[in-house]
Amino acid sequence: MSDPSSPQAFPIITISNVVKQFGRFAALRGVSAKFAAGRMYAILGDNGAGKTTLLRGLAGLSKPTRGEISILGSSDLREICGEVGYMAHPSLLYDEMSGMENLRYFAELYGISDEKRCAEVISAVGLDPSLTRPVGQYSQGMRQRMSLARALLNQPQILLLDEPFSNVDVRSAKEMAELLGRLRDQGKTIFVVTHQAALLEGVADEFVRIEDGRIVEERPSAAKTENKMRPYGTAEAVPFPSRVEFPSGKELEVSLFKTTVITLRKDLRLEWRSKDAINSMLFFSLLVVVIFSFAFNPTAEESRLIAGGLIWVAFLFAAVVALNQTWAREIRNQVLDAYRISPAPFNALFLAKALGNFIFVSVLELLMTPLFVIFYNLRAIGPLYQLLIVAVLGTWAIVVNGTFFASVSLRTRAREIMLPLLLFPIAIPALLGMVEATTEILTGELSPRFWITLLAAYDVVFTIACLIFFEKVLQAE
Amino acid sequence: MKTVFPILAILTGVLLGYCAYQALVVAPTDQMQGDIYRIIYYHVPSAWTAFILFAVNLVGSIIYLIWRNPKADMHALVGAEMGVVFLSVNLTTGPIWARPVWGIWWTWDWRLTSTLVVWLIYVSYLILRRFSSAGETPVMAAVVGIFGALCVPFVYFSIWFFRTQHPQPVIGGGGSMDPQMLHVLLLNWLAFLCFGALVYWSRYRYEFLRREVDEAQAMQALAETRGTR
Amino acid sequence: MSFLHLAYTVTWAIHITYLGILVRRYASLRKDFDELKK
Repeated sequence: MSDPSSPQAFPIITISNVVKQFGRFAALRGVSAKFAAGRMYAILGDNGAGKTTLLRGLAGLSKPTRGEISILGSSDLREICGEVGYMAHPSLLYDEMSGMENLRYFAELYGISDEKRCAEVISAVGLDPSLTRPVGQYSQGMRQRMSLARALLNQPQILLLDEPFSNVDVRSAKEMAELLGRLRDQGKTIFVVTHQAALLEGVADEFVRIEDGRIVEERPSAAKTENKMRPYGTAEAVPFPSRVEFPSGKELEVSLFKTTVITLRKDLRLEWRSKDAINSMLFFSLLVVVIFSFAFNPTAEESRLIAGGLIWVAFLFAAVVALNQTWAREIRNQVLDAYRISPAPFNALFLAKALGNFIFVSVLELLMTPLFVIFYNLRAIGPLYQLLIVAVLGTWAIVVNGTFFASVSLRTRAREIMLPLLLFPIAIPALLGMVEATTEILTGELSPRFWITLLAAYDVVFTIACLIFFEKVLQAE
Repeated sequence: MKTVFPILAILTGVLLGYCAYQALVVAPTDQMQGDIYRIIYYHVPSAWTAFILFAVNLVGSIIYLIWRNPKADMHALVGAEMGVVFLSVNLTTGPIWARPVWGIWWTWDWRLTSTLVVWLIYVSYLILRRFSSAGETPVMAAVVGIFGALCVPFVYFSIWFFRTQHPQPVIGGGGSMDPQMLHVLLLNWLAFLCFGALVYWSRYRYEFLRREVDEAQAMQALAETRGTR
Repeated sequence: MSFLHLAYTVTWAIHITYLGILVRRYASLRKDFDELKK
């Protein structure tokens, strides 16, 4: 029995009657537990028992339907997210970036700009920091190690690891288990969900078994104490102060501006490497332009009247292609979860995505407009600077709502269909503004001032709305 | 409420019948359009009722986001669903009116076009509710409901300006209405409001009971242990 | 049928269809409720 006066005796995590339901299915059915600091807990159970759901709840990724989780004395898990490291079954890493690049990015989400730290954690898990191969080309074992390195980056007090030994060879798994033991000896509290209990015998302090969403038994490690099984709930309750202080001494400086810039930079770098969005958008908008030409056989004069509509409809359809891809990288390997558990502001993620999409669509417009001018024999009669203003305001109108609704459609079935279904009706006033303003500039008949004002007002209203509601959408789980 | 509902239903039926009589028989015939104008007594009240229901959706969405009150979410859902039904009536009677008057089924005048766009916005709201995951639906729907409401003034304003720049035949015409016609119009609106309130109550009751059944089934699942290992 | 009567018929057809859907949903809910009671 540990000394009640030592920090280790105080529960670092308290779970109070937590229920988590997904529709009619109850993944957790009234779980209550207290976990002391500086110990390693092995969470065992069959598939579907609720282990991952419990871990996600502790990581703050999934709010309980009922009950409360308190970590370090706080029930606002976002407040203490800097003290938690999480490793999931998917890697939470970008396949297109190298290990070092991944860690550099995630370090900056925690306000850590020291590259040496990234190299240290990579070495600590037995990998080479100078490896330039993208993570997507790693073996499963290497990916697991790199995922663990990401979880250790912010020197968390609490580590939540979901099946870290899965698909890892025996030797590497033993090394990982020993590493976790050393981390526990340094004072970290570690939760390991695993099917390989034997690996943690003599390393873990306690084994906790979950069945059908409930903790059914808890036993100390056989090698550490007498091998006695006792049913859950018979351990003595240990009093704890309202808050346990740990000497992490970390001040996490994560500004909105800086996070927006680093996330935007990461997205631009990845797009530059793959050029997925730009290529597909270009080809798609070219197809639209060609198909439209079969519907119309306009004279040059008629072209000026309909070109505004054609060009913006083509850009809108092409933009949907890019917008659908906006979050694709974040949900592959569940990288979005890594962002959500970091202290980085959510609005920074939204702004970075919207700005990235703005840049991609603007590049598309720059490349496609000359083709359009040639195909439809266009010549602007009105001032060109007004065309530029319309292009900027109109493009922002599409991407700000498009980025937002792309994040909403992540939570739905038929994701690719939901985005245009949600975006197009809302975008109609802006589309009308873009089309009319462009037509008026091309024909020089009327002043586009009203439409430019409408677009500006639309952009302001919906940018503010997106910034207000994005966090609610992101944290809706 | 169980005993009151049938009485209210009968009273509403009587009111609807009386108002239909007023609309089809009592109200004077329009000089220019003839009897066909009488469609207005169903066309316009349907639109007004729909927009009241969309306002309910907006209020419900805001209340849900602030206080996470499940009843607010139910009101938001019922408001949107019934608003779409009433607006569908408006969008269908519009072309039926236009055909004999203008010789065309549809015209992109600002009222019809704006109404169609608003209808699309709330249909997409309902589709989102259907396609999103159970636990997340209320939050997603509330956010989209608010976005839809924010968009409505932009829709009307932009299409109005678009169409006044490019004049088109306008359904309903402008100018003032004969007082007797206005009286019948308002009566029919009252009748539709009563009808709408009854249907709203039924729909809300259904939603309330459905969630209770879902909750009970979830609690049952919670209490059971699964048989398979 | 005149257009006027068509408009009135269509109006009530839409409302009655919606009410019919509601009634069917109620019937299905009733079944679930009875099963739960068992």
